[in-house]
This record gives sequence, structure tokens and C-alpha cells, in this order.
Amino acid sequence: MKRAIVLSIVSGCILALAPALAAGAGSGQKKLVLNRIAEEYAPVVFDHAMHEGQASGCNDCHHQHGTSAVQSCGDCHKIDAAAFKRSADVRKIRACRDCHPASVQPGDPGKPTLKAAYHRACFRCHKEIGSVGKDPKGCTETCHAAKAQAKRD
Amino acid sequence: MSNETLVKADNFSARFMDKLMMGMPRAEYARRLVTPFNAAAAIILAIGLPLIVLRFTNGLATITHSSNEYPWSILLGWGLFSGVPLSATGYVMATACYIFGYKKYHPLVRLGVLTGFMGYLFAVIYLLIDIGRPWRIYYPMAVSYGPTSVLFLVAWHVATYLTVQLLEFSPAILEWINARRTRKWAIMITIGMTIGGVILSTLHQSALGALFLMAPGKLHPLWYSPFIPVFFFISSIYAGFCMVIAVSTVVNRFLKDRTDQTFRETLDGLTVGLGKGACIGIFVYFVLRVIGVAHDDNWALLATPYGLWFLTELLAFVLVPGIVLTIAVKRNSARLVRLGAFWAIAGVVLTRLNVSIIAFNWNLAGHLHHIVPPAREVFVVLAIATMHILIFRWILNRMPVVAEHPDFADDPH
Amino acid sequence: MANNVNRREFLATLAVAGGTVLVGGSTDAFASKNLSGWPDRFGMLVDLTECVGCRSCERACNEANALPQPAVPFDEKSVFDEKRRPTASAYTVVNRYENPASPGAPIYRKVQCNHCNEPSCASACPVRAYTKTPEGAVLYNKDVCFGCRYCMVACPFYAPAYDYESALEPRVVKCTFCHERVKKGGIPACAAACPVGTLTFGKRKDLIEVARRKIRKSPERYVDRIYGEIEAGGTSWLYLSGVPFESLDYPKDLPEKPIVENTKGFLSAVPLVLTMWPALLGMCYAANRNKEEKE
Repeated sequence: MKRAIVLSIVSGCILALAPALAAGAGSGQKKLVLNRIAEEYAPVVFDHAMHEGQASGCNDCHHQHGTSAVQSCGDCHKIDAAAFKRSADVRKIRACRDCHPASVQPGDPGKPTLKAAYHRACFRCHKEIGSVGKDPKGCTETCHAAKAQAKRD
Repeated sequence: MSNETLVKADNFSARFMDKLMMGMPRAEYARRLVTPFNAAAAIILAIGLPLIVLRFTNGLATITHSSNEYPWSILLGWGLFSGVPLSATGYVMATACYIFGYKKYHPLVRLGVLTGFMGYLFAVIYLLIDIGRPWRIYYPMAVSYGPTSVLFLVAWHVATYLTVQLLEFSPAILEWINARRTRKWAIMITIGMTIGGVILSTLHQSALGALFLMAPGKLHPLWYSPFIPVFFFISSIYAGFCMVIAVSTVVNRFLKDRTDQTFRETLDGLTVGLGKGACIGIFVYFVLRVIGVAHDDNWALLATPYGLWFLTELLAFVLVPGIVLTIAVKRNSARLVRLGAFWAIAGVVLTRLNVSIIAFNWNLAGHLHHIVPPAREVFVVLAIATMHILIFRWILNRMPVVAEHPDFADDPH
Repeated sequence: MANNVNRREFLATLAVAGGTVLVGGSTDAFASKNLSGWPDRFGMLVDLTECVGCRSCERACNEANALPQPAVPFDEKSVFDEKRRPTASAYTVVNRYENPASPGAPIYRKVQCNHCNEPSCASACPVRAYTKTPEGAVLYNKDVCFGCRYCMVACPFYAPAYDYESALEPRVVKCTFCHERVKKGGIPACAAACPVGTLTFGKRKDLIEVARRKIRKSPERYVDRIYGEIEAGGTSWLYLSGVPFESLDYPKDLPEKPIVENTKGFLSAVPLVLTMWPALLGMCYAANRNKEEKE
């Protein structure tokens, strides 16, 4: 009897946890705080899970493939994209800051800085949404809190 | 001088006032000053001189619309770019008379030198008003050299040439104040000054054109040419001849009482002679300008609006006065030569204004609107031109320019 | 008596003519040399396909140089309705151009002094008020400038602005390439502020390579030209664009050689005139005197 109760509790826990684990198997990240460079503006709260649902694939923003630094695999190999998609290990997708430096490196001036990388990625869509770029006021309306403001809040 | 009732006064100040008021008692001199011309001049100066003061107290923006695209306006377009070729009278007359030996033009040499000296003096005055920090005008001469610049050359030459012209004119001043020994020295250096004057003039007359070699994309291709320095130099030669004709005509008409018999009797003949020189200069210049168009193969541009303007300048204001002068010389008509001379002068002014203002930045939006000067700037230019005429007249009224000084008849120069 | 006068006149002539030659020769122009030094000088690569027109560069420049507050704030986009140019209180401006290929996505162009390899302004200045520095910046010295504004005539990019309003301290105003910051190891304020990395600061020779690589990698994105590579002898500021540069009001038909080359022919004639004219004219004078004496 005791063994049955323990077993059911454990399996119940596992069952309860399963969705969480499954979700974690997607990315495990819901909201990120981007605070690596916070000179003029307060750190940005970025809803990763929401954007994940909006994007057609990780490659929309995480352009680990076909970057200027990395030779595209297809340059030499015959690629079946579907095969790669199924087998992608999301834990290996690196954060932006892993490749993009906080300030321009003299030895590699062609690599966009972290600020540039963020904005270029975001502006691909946010040029229409939130009027960023079209209307500079969109910076604070859509994403950023000015530092003075953040202190007050 | 011819009609002075000079009373030999004992003290210096009385003699000084005599010189200033041409030997007349104060009341009579004051009455003489009231003329329609002087009244008009007074009005112009009453408007223009305060504007000049305003320029120095409140900045250039008060009198000009010079902008970041259009840094130069008529202050320089007229005062420097037109004024300098019209002041070529000094070197052409001195060279003709003293170097090439045309002694018969002697009665006109001093007038030419004075016109030239005054022209350069006023070019400097226009510059002092136009440049941003006039108190630094001597910097290219003494503080910081920029020898890669054509303008550096212009600055040095204008300063040197002004000195040369003053020294060439000094015999007239020295005769006026009766400084016999100094006058002798001044006459001795005439040839040297003349040669120096030609060298300097060759270089700075052409340099004013060479300035625009730095702006090939901004000056309309019909006016821009690698030969632009040659154009400016050659046109200054005939401009000099024509200006002497023009100024001597005006002096003979309005200041006849200051001229002597030699001047009056030989003037018409000399005028025709100068007309010959101007003729040659104008036709050479005309052909050079045509070569300029051919060299860059710009014939197609003649059919554009600016092309028509170019043809107007070249045909109506260079070729036609050249033809008028030719006919006038053939007919030995001083009157017709004078007409051609005034016309040719208008053409020289037109070409200088075209290069420095009208055809400059021709391709910018709103160009024709930008180049129209504000009324204030026009009055400043008129005021300075009026001062120029008044001072010129003042000198002619007192010094032996168009007449020989009787005290020095034994040692003429 | 006549002989004495002749000798005196002759000596005086020589002295004056010779003096003119000396004075003229020592002060008139010598040819400028081509800029082959400073291979490690800096440049700025401007990728016009990235610029979003946020004007952060204008704001940063204004703050970094303590320039007066503009009449219209920096986040106001109605300024784009008119084409602007740098002024006495703005070293740089951004202009907007419609892109006929993509109507909703305009192109923005940043305008400022291009810090040429062989600057026309420096060659044109009669008092040497401009200096090309080893860092690449072309700097203006207000302490010798006397305001002739010939540099403004000479600049093919219409870069210098002039402070016509000032009575006592008018001066030329233009971008300084943040020379002080760069000398201390920093980067220009505009480049630091740009959120999308339109402005890339680095060694000019490296930036040319970066630009060429970008064009090679994305030939459909860029016009195959780096504006500033050779124009007017080459400039420090280099531009990449997705549309032809003429449609963005970039000066076209600029010669490949520095513009100062146009004046070298004339200036080199100066010592020739100074040497030959005294001899030629002296001979004319002598010939005339000879003719007169015979008569």
C-alpha cells in the first residue's frame, strides 16, 4: 500500500512536470533582460517566448547560418534543410552577445557591435510595427525606457 | 596748377589748407561743393556708410545673403573680380609708354596709373568689408603661409602691386607738395616699377581666374576651362586700354579745367591709338574663348539656356564691341572708339560676374534666386563706388595728373 | 651727365626687377605632394542600406561638441520634408530620399565633411588654416583664418559652413571627425551612437576591404561602388548604397585625382614668369632706348 502511494505521487509529479519539461525543451526562456549595454537607456525586457511564437524559425534572428564569418555549409555539401530543422539542438543556439562585441573591435571592423546586432535584428520587423525607424519617438514608445524615466518608475 | 590764386602763406597750416581747398577761400570752396552730383553722392553715402558700420558691429549677415553654398557675392564679384581687370590701366599704359617706347601716350600714363592704384586700393577696401576677420588681412603676408593656394599668390601680389602703383604715382604727389629731390628718386625707379608691375599683373590677373580651377564641378563648363587664367589675363589688357579711354573721356568732359593743352589736343588721337590696342586684345581674347569651347568639346552646350547666355556674353559683349572698335579705328573716329570702349568694359564686367557669380553653382536648386543680392549689399557697393569716384576727383582736382605741373616743366616725367 | 643718369637708372632697374624676382620667388607656390603617408589613418564606412533615419548621430554630435540646441528637436521627423545641409550650428545632418524600388522604405543619407585624403580646402587656404592629421581628420584652425571663404568655394562636397552672424569671431564650421576622442583611442560620437551600426569606424584600408567583402557577399543589396574610394583623390568617409549615388545628391563626375592638381599647372608657371618677364621686358626697353639714341 505504502509503495503504491509513493509510486503514484512520484508519477503524478512527473506528469505534472512533464509539460514544463517539454516547454523547457523548446528554449526554457520566457522573458530576457538585455542589460549588457545600458548607457543611454534602461535595460530592455525582451519577451523571448512571444517572439518565438511569431517567428517562422530560429534563423529569423539567430543567424548562425550563412553569416559573413561562417562559410555556408551548402557551399560544399548537399543539404537537406528539413533534416537539419528536426535535429537542431536549441541549446547550441548562441546568445547575440556571444559573437557580437560590446564595442567595435579594431581587428574586425566589419562585425556589427552588440547594439547594432540587436537593432538590426529587431528592425527587420519593427520598422513597420511600432514605427521605430520611421519615427524616432518609437524608440521609447516601443522598447526603451529612457534611463531618467526608469529611475523614476 | 592752371588757375590757382595761390597766396604764399608763411605758416604750414595755411599752406596745407590752400592745398586742400585748391587755393580758394573757405566760403567759395563750400559753395563749389553744392552740385547735383555731390547731392546724389551724399544720399548714397548716407545710406551706405551706416550699413558698412553695421557690418562690423553685427556681422556679415547684416548686409549680404552669402551662404554656405554661395560664399562670394557682388562685394567681391564687383569689387575684386571686376575691379582688378578695370585697374589694369596702370601696367598697360606704363608698359606701352616706358617699355615699348610709345612716348606719345605720355599724357595718359599718370591717369592710367592713378586709375589702377585707386582700383587696387578699393579692391582691398572691398576685401576688408567682405572677409570675416578684416583685422587679419595681413596674415597671408606675415603670419601663416599657404603657398599651395592661388589666393595666397593673389594676396601677396595685390599687396605688392599696390605698393608698386603708389610708387609709380608718387611723382605726381611729390610735385603737388613740391618735394623736388624725392621726386627725382621716385622717377629713377619708374622703369623698375613698370617691369615689376607687368610681372605682378601678369600673374595676379591670371590668378584671379585660376582661383576657379579649384571648382571644376561648380563653374559651368562653358566658362570653366584649364585656360581660364589666360582668358583673365588677356581680357585685362584690353580692359586696361578701354578703361583709359573711358576715364579720359569722363575727365575731359567733367574735369576739363584740370587738363592742360597737350592733354586736350592729343586726346582724340591717343584715344584712337588705344582703340587699336584694344582691338587686337579683344579679337585675340575672342578667339581664345572659342578655343576654350573647342578644347573641351562643349559645342552641344551652346544650345542650352546657359549656352545662350554664354553666346550673349561672347558675341554681344566681346565680338560686337571688337567690331565697333575696328570700324572706329578705320574711320579714325574717337567718338566711336569711346562707344566701343565703354561697351567692351561692360563685357569685361559681365564675364567676371558670370564666372564669379552667375555661372558659379549654376546647377544648384534655386540658383537664380540665390545670386540676387539684397538691397543693402547693393547700397554698400554703391557707397564704396561713390567714395572711389569722390576720392579720384579729389586727387585730380589737386595733383598734376592730366596736366603737367608748371614748376616741373624743366624736368618732365 | 647723361651717362650718369643712364647708369643709375640701369642699376635701379636691376635692383627693383631683381628684388621682385626674389620676393616673388620665395613666396609663391611650390607643388603639393601626393598623400602617400599615414597608411594607418582612420576612416568611416557608411552603409546607407542600414540607416533608419533615427538622427541619433545628429544628437550625439550636437552633445559631443556642445553645439546650440536646434530649433527642431532631434526626434522630430518632419525635418526630413526638406533637404538640409550642415550649418554653423550642425556639423552633420541626415536627409531622406524616397526609394523608387521600395516606396515605403526610404533611404537616409548622413552628410558631413568627408575628410578627404588630399583636401581641397587645405590646398585652397591662403593661410594654411587646415591640417590633414595622421589620424585622418582634416582640422580647421580658427586662430589663423581671416575669413576669405575660398575653402567653401573649393570644397567639392559643399561641406564647410560659415558663421556669418558673428561680428568678431566668424569662423568656418565643419565636422572634426572627433579628432580629440580618436587620438585618445575612442571613436567618433556619431558612430558610437548609431543603433544599427550604419557607421563603422576603423582604419581606412581595412574599411575598404570590409566594403568590398560586403558588396561581394550581397551584390543584390549594394551598388558596386564605394563612394569616396577615389573621388577627388579619395576621402576618409566611404559610402555603400543600394541605389545609384547620383540619386542621393552625391556630387557626380568628380575627378579621380585631388582637385588641387588643376592649379599645379598655373602655379608652376609663376616662377617661369618671374624669371622670363624681366629679361624679355628689359630687352624691349633696351631695344627702344637703342632706337631712340640712334634717332
